[in-house]
Amino acid sequence: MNINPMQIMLNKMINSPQVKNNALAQNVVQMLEKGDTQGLKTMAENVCRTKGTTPKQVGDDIIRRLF
Amino acid sequence: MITNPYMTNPYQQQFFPNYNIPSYGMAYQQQKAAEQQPMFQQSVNMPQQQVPQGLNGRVVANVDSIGANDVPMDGTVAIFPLSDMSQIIVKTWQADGNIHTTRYKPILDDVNTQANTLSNNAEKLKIGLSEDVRTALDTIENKLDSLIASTSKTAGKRITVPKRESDCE
Repeated sequence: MNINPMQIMLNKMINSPQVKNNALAQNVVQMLEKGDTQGLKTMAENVCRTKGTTPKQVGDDIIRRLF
Repeated sequence: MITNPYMTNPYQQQFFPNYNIPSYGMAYQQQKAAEQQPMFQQSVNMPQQQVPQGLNGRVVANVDSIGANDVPMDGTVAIFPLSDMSQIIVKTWQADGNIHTTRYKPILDDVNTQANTLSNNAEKLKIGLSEDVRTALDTIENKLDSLIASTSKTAGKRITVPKRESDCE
């Protein structure tokens, strides 16, 4: 039996009540399933713009926190 | 020599007390289990206790003071009443990563106020209509006069304009 860990994670996320009640998270999971990287990028850009930042700033912030 | 199985070795007891006295071990385990049981039950019962979920949001002075971080990303809406209660603004995250805003404005319950407002609006509408009609009539009349004048000049003869009924009376 071939088990795909990614699929297991996705199924867990889809069935999670936190995702079921969240349109944003549902869209993310659906795009992950489809492999829609362009859609994910557009959504990330939208979220960053709404929050008044850029994807590059967010990436730099994450790297700064890790190291 | 026959060895008594219940006889204990003091050295062994010194180094491995729990292994040599099974009753002590059992009592300890039972005590430990009794201590752990209420904690376990409490942790199991925790999700069953439904904590009342409050509303997200706050009272704001104006719309511009609402930031994106004020809107939760867990799928719930955030409610922002204006301090003068002239509007209630509801914000939520959309699936595309933008924030959707809905404004709710109050409806006054006072019947007299509504009736006065309606009658005033009707009068304003009536006056506005009559003024508009009058202006349009004047424009048409002027255009007609100029047209007649130009036609009479080109034709070289005078055209008699029939009088309107309002003029006759």
